[in-house]
Amino acid sequence: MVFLSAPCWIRVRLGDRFWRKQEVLQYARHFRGRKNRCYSLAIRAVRRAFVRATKARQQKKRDMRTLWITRIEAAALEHGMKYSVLMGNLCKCQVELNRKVLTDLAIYEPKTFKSLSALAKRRREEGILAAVGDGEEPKGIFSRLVHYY
Amino acid sequence: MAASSALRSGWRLLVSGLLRGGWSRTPVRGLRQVVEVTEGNTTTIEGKIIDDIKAPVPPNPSGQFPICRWNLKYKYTYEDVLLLSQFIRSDGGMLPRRITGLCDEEHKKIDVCVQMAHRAGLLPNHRPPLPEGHVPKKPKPQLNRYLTRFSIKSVKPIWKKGQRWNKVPMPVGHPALRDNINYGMKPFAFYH
Amino acid sequence: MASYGKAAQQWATFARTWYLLDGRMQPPGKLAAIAMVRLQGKHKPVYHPLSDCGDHVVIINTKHIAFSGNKWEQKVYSSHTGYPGGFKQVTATQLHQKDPTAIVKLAIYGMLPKNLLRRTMMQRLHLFPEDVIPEEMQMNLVEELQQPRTIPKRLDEYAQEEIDAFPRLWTPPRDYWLK
Repeated sequence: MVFLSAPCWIRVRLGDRFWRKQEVLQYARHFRGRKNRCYSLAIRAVRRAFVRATKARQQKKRDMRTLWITRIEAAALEHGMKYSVLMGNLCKCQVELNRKVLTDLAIYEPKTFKSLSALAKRRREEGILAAVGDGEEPKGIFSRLVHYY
Repeated sequence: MAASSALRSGWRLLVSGLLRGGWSRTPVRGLRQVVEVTEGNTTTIEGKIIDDIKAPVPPNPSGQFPICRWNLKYKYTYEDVLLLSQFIRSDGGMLPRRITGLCDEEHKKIDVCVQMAHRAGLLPNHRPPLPEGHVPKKPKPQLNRYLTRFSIKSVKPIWKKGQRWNKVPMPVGHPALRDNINYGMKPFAFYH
Repeated sequence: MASYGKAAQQWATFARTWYLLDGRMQPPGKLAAIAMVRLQGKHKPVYHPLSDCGDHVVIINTKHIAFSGNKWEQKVYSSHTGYPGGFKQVTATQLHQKDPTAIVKLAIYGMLPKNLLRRTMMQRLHLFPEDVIPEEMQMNLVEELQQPRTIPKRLDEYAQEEIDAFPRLWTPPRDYWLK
């Protein structure tokens, strides 16, 4: 059997190996030290970087949510309320704004946020009245009208 | 003669109680007060009964003891000095239970509250005065404290705090008051 | 193109505010919890952990703080000098006599996040054992923060009318002689 294509195959294989390494090294060019040019070091670093990047895609969502919560907490404390009170009572008033939008409102539209917090505060007082009082609904309160669950 | 000397010593106590600390006990209703009148060589010692205005009617007159009669059970703590000062003598000790008519539990709780109020410095200083001309070598540091369960001399520093999962607790407040009404969100913590 | 108005807005947003907190009869942990929020900037809706947006906090009367329980005697502050046999332990009373601001400082230092910004935040904390503060610092103060603990009234602070208005809970027997 004669391997006519053998040299060709070898050359291709060699070139292939070179480019295959370059492919990996491209991801490691901005790394520090020898791992941005030595394949055996780079492959390890790139692999770790990819694992972390995959995890970070989920972690970023959690981090953003904690940041929004911290910011809403700060804005709620400005109006003399706790975060849990604000969110719970907005939920009861069926104000279905998520935390990202609430944060934007708190930063760029403080007066809108203030009225939202006033709404939550009023809803809270009504809840306490209903629990402590005689159980009759006070008149002229609009937040009761949207109760349909 | 023995009776008169006893009365005289009592009178001195009463006077010293009145003069001490710039704070005087309010005159107690229905009590016998010793009045001493000196006319020349004659000294008359008289026990006068002070009759004051009638006590207001408590909200729950059928209660067994004073605290229950006023619906105050579980509602007082060491900060209510106006309540506590009615149950102590002029030297700071508790009045006996057979006089105040408190139940055993309430007597204990008021005793605990009086102690904590004393240590927090809310009640006036009832300690006996130092002898004349006595200068303490080292002035005691004035440290503010509250909810102090044990006397200051009896406790020792916790040099070894213990492991994270098994810390040595620092007692705060008194567990006798654990049934008090809690208006806060957190339950009472008696060990920090 | 940054306009002048935008720049002014930026300065105004990240300007430092000065807060005053009175430590008289307050537990140091609760003081620290309040000061920590202001030092980190967690009271601003624009908070971000990387943007250093904390404010200045001035705490006065740290000499007159109050501990609950028997902590003045029981609480122990430990440190190590780094040398053999250099483990030091002092009780809260001893530490307080040595430095009246140390207890509040340590409480706040322990509550701040353990990162590189911690020392920077501590530099914005100003502690004074008494209520005397420098003139230029007094000019900066904007707001006094509410004290975390309500100070109970002593018996000699009540007026005679208030004492008389409080009803007598019990009537002693007629023949009892009160000492």
